[in-house]
Amino acid sequence: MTQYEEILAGRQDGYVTSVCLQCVSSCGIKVKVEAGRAVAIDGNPLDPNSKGKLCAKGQAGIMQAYDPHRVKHPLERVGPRGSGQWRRISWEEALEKITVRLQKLQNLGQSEKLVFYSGRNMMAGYTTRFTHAFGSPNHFNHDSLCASTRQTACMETVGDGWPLPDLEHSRYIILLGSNRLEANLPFVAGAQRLVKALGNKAKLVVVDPRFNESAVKADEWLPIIPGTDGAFVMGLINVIITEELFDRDFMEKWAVGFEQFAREIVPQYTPEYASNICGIPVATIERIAHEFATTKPAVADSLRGVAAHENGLAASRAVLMLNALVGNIDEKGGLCFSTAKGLSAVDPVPAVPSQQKIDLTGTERFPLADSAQQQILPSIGAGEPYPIDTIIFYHSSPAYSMPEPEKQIEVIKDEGKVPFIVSIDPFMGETTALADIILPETTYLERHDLISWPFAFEFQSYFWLRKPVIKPVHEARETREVLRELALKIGGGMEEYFQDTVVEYMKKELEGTEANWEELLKNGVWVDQNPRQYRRYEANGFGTKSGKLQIYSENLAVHGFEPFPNYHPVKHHQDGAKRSQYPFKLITFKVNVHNQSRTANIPQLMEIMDQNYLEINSHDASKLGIRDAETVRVTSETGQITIPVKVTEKIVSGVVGISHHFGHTTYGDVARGKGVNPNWVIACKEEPVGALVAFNDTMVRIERL
Amino acid sequence: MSEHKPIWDYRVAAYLFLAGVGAGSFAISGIYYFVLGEMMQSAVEIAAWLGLLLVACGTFLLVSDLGQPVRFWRVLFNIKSSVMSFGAWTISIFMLLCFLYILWGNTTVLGLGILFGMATAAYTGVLLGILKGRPFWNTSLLPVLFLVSAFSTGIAAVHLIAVSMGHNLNAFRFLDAGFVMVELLLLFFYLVIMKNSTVEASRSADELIKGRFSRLFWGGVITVGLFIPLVLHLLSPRISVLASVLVLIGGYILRYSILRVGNRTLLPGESFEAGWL
Amino acid sequence: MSQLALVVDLKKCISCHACTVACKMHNGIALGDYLVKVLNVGPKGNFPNISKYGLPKSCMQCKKPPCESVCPAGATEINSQGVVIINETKCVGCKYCMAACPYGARIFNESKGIVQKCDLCASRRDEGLEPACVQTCLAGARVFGDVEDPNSDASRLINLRQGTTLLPHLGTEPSVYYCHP
Repeated sequence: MTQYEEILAGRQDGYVTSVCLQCVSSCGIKVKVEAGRAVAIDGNPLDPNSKGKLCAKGQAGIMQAYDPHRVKHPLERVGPRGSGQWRRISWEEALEKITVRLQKLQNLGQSEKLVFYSGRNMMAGYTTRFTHAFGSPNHFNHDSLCASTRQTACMETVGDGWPLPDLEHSRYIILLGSNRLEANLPFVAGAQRLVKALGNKAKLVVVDPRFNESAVKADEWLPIIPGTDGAFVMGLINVIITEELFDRDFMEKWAVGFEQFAREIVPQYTPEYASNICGIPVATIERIAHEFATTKPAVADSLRGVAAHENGLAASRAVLMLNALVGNIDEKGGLCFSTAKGLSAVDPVPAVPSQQKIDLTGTERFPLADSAQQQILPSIGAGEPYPIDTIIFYHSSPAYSMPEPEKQIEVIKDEGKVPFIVSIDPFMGETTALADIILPETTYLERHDLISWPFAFEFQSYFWLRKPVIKPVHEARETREVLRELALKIGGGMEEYFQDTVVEYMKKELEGTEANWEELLKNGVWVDQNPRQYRRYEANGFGTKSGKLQIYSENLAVHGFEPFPNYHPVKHHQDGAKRSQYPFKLITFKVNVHNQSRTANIPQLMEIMDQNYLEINSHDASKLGIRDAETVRVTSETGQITIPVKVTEKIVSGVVGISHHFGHTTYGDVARGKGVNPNWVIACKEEPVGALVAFNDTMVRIERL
Repeated sequence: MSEHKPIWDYRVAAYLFLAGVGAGSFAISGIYYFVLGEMMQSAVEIAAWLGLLLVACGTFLLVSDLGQPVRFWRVLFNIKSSVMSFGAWTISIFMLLCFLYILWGNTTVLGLGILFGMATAAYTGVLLGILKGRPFWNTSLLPVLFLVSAFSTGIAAVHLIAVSMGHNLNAFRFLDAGFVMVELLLLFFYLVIMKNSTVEASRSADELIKGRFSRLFWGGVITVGLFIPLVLHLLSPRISVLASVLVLIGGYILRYSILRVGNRTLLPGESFEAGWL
Repeated sequence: MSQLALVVDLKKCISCHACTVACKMHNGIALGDYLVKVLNVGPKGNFPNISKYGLPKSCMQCKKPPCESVCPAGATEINSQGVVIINETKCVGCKYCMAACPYGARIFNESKGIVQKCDLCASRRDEGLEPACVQTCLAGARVFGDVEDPNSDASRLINLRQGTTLLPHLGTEPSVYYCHP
């Protein structure tokens, strides 16, 4: 037996390398295991991205595995859906029930009626394989809740889905709706490089409605009105172009549509116009534009704060444009392209079934989006484009994480619309609580994942290997194994795609890459030793359709969208009647000790922060006669919540903020009943191109109770 | 740092109180024995028993508050620098002297008993008083206050026992009234000085005057423990017994509330709002 | 003599609480208790000119530790590396040291019945690892080393940034230094 196997078997104490999944950043970890029990987690110093560092969440990781509120064994619902009445069943019985159900679908030729509804899925390749091999096109991820519009903007403009700012080497950094020192992706790797840059006297400008932890460290905090980032950035672009501060050579050589953009689009976005809209003074816009254009290298970084608006695509593209204008694309200290090398496809690869996906991507509704998760359950509710039979929820909880959750829950509860629900979950999450069969999943310390990620700040290619550091707790089973067993049981041709064991499959994914399995197993990470390269577009062109920087996007134009980066106000923000009824704009945000919704049952994190507040500017509060800590009612067009107030100087007037993470109604005893879930007042609307839910567009009214 | 929970609970307050009552009763009775002579003989005998038993009870409570009660004897081993170790010796010797006095009734023993009694009573204040990081306690007024309170509660305890045994110790009521007045004055000055001292000491004083412990302080310490007894003592010997009971109650509450409001010096970013530091 | 301690660069600290949680998990600290805690200083000022910083607090490894002098059992000592340690077999659990520590750096371990404090992760250092809080500090704000060795990173940082100690007027002579934001 190898040392690793001895440790896993509890016969030897030692450290096991793996990868964190408290968020999706994938920081390397080194877990101390004693007598088969994980006792503490360190960062893995061999991981060049996180450099052996972990955040508070990562440090608390073992609490996920040893949480007493885990689902301990498979359960079958006995009462009405959501009644909380369960019967303990064996794995055998659970898998048999699912097999019978799915075989029936297959025999009826209705394979497309299986929906694999996944979220933060670290084995999307495997679950997609399962779904496609079964014969359904309906495999979904959560991108449209995350940052899909920014990805679309990046693909359409620079041809790379997830370019990263080379923070460490930058001299001038603008963060727009991107909270690098508290959240973002990857947090640990990004934050340490940004802090290093600040130590080297780089200037940091944070453009955000909230004084977040990034703004705390900034040389300048520019409070901005949500949804107006595009105006601000177009104002900067206007100054840079008007004053000819841009990199003309780069534009002439690499840009598509620059002349037209400069002539027809840019002139209307004068600093005066931008200032009127976004609330940042004209002189500041002019000065920032000068500084950004003349300090080399400089980089502007944006994420959900800019993208999660109805106008988020154009605004995200404007930020990319800002970087491009000064020639900082894939430049040291600029906005660099991902270096991730993909894993190899494992033969045989199942064909993608040809039916329409029920999230309506690829149709007129979402012609360019890859993901529109918010549409899945409404489609099912309407029976369009066809009725479905079974949903498998995996790492996803629309009953909690989707705006207007009541609409999602209504469909999930409807046995006519969703006849059969399986949920794979280590916890009794809000959606899992509505399932018919629950399969207890392993946490990240008990499972495998082979990860190739674009979030690598050293701009080298990495692979990470997540592997069990302990045996599964209770009756939990690794989902890869469960899916494989199901595929073999269901058969009907499906079994051909699942001949390899979980480990053999991952080894095959490495074939054809330079990485080797043994090294990954030992170190937890494999790093491409080839030196980092900048300006790779000079050799290969951009990854866009035209091979160039697309200021003008043909693809957008063809589908009737604005082809140039620009700014249009969020429509209902312009509606005077609505504005008087709902005078505040609501934004949501993340804090540094919690992830989306999966850390709320960890006592060590909850004792640092165990509830959220409505943050409101002191002027607004005094106008409304609201005192600190009093509970208020927040009403939007779609819902109402009550929440205690934090009166603060840390947020711009006219805007209120509520953090994510809290307001669980199930999950675990620590999480339940703590704080409020803001989704209950957020309207489920999206940016139309990338289909990202416009989380930050909601308008609300605040009333004293 | 244990957040928002007091370091010591009621047991330590009771220890400070009982050590004060026991030591105070023997010391003050002894002093009066030397001043007034044989008429105080019965009081001294009662006080010797009180000294022994109450201090022993207090010590028992203190030991029960230890995380490792069976290791209690170890506290005798750092007499060089630890006030608590020094106090443990003082208390032990005091109890021994009480015991010897009960056996022999020797006046030399009594003399030493007075000395060690006063040392024990004052020690309960020194224990807290030397802590530089707790400004409300870090004053030489605290041992004096606790000593006076020890005399006052000690007299009250002897008085009660004497009355229950049929002795007439009527003179004690004026004596106690005197100590109560001194204690009131001392408390007043203590709070005035603390109010004008550091932010933390001022805040601690405020906790007593108008904060979380104001009811205990005004009701328990000032009204029940000092003001009513003073009036009762001066009014009539017949209700003087009640006065003694109230003085004892007040004496405990005084220790308890002072123990609870002794906040630590604030570090940047800390506040008292969340609770105990 | 050497003096192991921490130097905390408050300019770098991003108040992420990783040190707090790392310490808890690696040392098995009970809920509600902390050996490292990040205090929030501020926010001060009015919108939009506001400032705040985090102040991670832990044992100051004082040269004249009041916790040591008050201990009736002689259970607290300063070891040869200058680290203030508790001899677990001597501690009687009277908590007097907790009252004496001006920094609130000590906790009572209910299950062991003794007082517990930061020993700069002695067992980790024996394994050749850094203290958990230092190892995980992603901002690199916590520098661990011998503050009396003029060539250590820790000393250099103190000199470069004129590091100061907390509550110096109490005469405890802390060895943990803070470099101001």
